Amino acid sequence: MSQLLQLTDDADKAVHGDAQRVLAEQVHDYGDSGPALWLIDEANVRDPLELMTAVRQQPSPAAYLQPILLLTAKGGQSSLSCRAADGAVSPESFDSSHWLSHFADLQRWIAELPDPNETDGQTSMRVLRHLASRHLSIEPMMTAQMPSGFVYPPLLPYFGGAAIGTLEILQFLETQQFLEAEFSASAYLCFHCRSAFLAFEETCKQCESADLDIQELVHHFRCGHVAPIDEYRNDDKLSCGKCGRDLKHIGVDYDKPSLIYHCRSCDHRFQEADVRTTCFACGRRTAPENQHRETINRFRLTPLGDNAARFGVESLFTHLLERDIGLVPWSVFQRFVHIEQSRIKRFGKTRSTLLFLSIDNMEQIYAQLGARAVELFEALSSVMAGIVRDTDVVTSREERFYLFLLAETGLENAEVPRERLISRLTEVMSANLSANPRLESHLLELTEDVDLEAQLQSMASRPRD
Amino acid sequence: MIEDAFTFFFNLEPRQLLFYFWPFFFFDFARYVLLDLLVLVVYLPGLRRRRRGWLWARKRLYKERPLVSILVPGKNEGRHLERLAHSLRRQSYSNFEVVVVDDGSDDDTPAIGGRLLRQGLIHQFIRNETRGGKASAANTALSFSRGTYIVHLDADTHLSPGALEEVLIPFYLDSRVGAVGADIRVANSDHSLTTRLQHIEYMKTLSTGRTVSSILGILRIVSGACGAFRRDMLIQLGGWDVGPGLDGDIIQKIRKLGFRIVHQPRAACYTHVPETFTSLARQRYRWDRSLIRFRVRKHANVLRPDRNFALLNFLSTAENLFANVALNLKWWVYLVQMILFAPQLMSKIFIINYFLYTVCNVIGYGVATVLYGRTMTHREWALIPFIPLMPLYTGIYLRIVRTYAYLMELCHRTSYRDRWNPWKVSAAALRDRL
Ligand SMILES: [Zn+2]
Ligand SMILES: [Zn+2]
Ligand SMILES: [Zn+2]
Repeated sequence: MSQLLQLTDDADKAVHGDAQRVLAEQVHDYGDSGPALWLIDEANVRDPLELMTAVRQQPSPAAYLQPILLLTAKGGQSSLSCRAADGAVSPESFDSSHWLSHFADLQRWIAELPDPNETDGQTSMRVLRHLASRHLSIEPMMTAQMPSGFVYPPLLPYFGGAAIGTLEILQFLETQQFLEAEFSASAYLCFHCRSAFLAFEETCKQCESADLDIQELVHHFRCGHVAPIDEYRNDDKLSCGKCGRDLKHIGVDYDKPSLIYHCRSCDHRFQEADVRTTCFACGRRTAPENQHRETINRFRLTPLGDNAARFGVESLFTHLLERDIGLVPWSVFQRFVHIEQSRIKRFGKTRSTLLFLSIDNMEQIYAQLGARAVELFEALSSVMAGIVRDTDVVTSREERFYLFLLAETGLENAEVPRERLISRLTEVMSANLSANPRLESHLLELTEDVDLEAQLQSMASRPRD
Repeated sequence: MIEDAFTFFFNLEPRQLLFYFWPFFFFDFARYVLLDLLVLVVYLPGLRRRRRGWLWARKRLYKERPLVSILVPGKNEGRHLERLAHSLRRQSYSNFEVVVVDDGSDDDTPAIGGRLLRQGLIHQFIRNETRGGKASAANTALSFSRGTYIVHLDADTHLSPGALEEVLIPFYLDSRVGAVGADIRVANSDHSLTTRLQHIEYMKTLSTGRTVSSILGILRIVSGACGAFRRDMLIQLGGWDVGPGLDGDIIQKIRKLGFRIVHQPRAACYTHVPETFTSLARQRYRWDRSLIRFRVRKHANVLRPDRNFALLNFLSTAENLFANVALNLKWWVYLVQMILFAPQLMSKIFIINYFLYTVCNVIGYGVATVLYGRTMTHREWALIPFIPLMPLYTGIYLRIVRTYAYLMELCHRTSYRDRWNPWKVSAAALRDRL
């Protein structure tokens, strides 16, 4: 199976919009992951962007995140599809080994994901991973090809067609503090259809006609007369209607202090014209201030965003715990408990205790702290690391529940570390959050008939206030 | 000392009395006291008599509801515009448009004007990138106006709620009326001694003085701070000519067309006056010079008995020249006379004169309070303790400024180099010997 897959869109059979099916046939052999490099030859396909969209719509990061290289004739390398791809090269100079090593970092990034073959459901996650895997900041690009007037080319294949929803996703990621926005431009979009193509025209304040001409006002110094220049015209010279003198030298005996509009339809004269905008797409007409004013930003990944791209939005904290206290997976923890239960049953001498901890408002921490959530998680993680001994085993479920197996510790001896843990966690969290942390904990002596799943069930079903 | 002075005064024979106090008895007593009494005997009784006519004129005004264009030309007046625009909304007469001309402001006036325009508080905002001067700014505003009547307003003034109605009614009382002046009052009266003294002066010379001139038919000025005009007449005149003193100049031109000028004492227009004696001196210096320029140079023809001669115009100008130039001169004559003939009596004569002029001022103030009627406010009442200072203010301070201004203008034509006008306009006026 080749590392490269050159895509075709089966130009004869494919109907427009069917790229997904066409692609499915071609990637069949690769299973969940895709090839190491998607190759699209512009000369052989009808719509390269449509194929790229099909690629970016593949289920798993191991497929959709893989680089797309566009083979294109020289000179075509500034097209929208070239900018949407990860690279473009002319077919003659294409060298597969060069490009495979060129994208080696990207391959490694994908491989380091916890589960590169698992399906990524959300577009926001896909976008985030695309930016993180390529260390990419994205710049808006003006284009006449999209109704919105600008695009973020590399993201185009994630949204397809008219790139609808791009701004909303980027704004969502910004509110989550995964992206940092920086002003790039502002644009007026149609209040009705969000098209960026608006015609501006100056109109009469009185009758709204756009049939205006611009006149110069002339000020005759010696008599103080002021009138539009037309009223001074007398054959091919200027003469004053008030004092009858000829105007000879501008700046010496007269000047032109201002310009004014004259409406040819109602004869109104004024200096500040109204402006009306008409949408090229839907034809609706209104004043510019009624149109939708959009700020077009460039976006950069934040450290929090980078973390979320690697480990998922939810598991940032557990990732830190894994690093600091060697958090074990749920199945491993279950095995440990099971072994401990057998030991107790067999020897009856040793005693162990289970500590259940639930942190109820994890989502609030993300929402409230954004980028600073990382710092708080670091602090919480080190609090836990300070309590946990080498012999203890810790796991977590859904990032809300934390289970500690305190080996060789009786119920009465477990009370001290529990209290310390709760008070330290409370301290750290209340220092960083506006709302009080919602921590729940209890201890349970480990006996042979303790059922972990049932315990978790009862904790989860406890009403949250 | 004071007793001595009065003993001296009461022992004088009539002939001596006139010898020592002729300026008072021949000129100022007649001019200030007797004329002021005209208000009491002619204007006020007439008010009641004319009430039916007034009501009828008011009814016609509201039936016709002519559009009135309020012109507000000026430079760097942005900060006043907002308050002015809001105060205009409280006017009882509401069919007006506001035309603002920004004459080359270098502050945030363009932004403020643009905003007021969008808010619909003003109706035209014309911005000149370079300054053209008062006359051209007013003419620009005039050319953008559409009303039947024009009200010229300074941006830093505000009007009593009935003022607009009051300045329009005279046009309906008498079709020969071409311009109506509002009563200028001091808005910042309680700021300093300077503003208080000016307030007393305004009550006497502007309110009472112009009412008297109006009764006599010789009113020669309508203040630029607030005056109403027929638009057709202004267009016929080609608007305002290059100033300074353009307020008096335009009235002179209107009089020459045969129109009447009316003062409306009940249309109160509050304005800000200079707050220090130095800035006041600068203001008066400018005003006083314009008299020479416009009465003596430009409109001297009204004094010539030719085809266009009109007695009232002659009297108006003659009275103005006499009152200002001759009466100003008389003081110096008087001073010389005293030094030559009665050097040892000077202190006594000074005390008596001070007393006589203080009495004049009290009478003048009293007449003004009657004239103001219901429009008297606490600000006017609070001025009473300052009345005794008026002889020093008008007799010494203003006289010195005026004399200096006349001399400078007669000798050097300094107003042509005045910063009041942009240099280019002054240069053009000087070239053409305007
Ligand atoms: Zn001219
Ligand atoms: Zn129009
Ligand atoms: Zn539209």
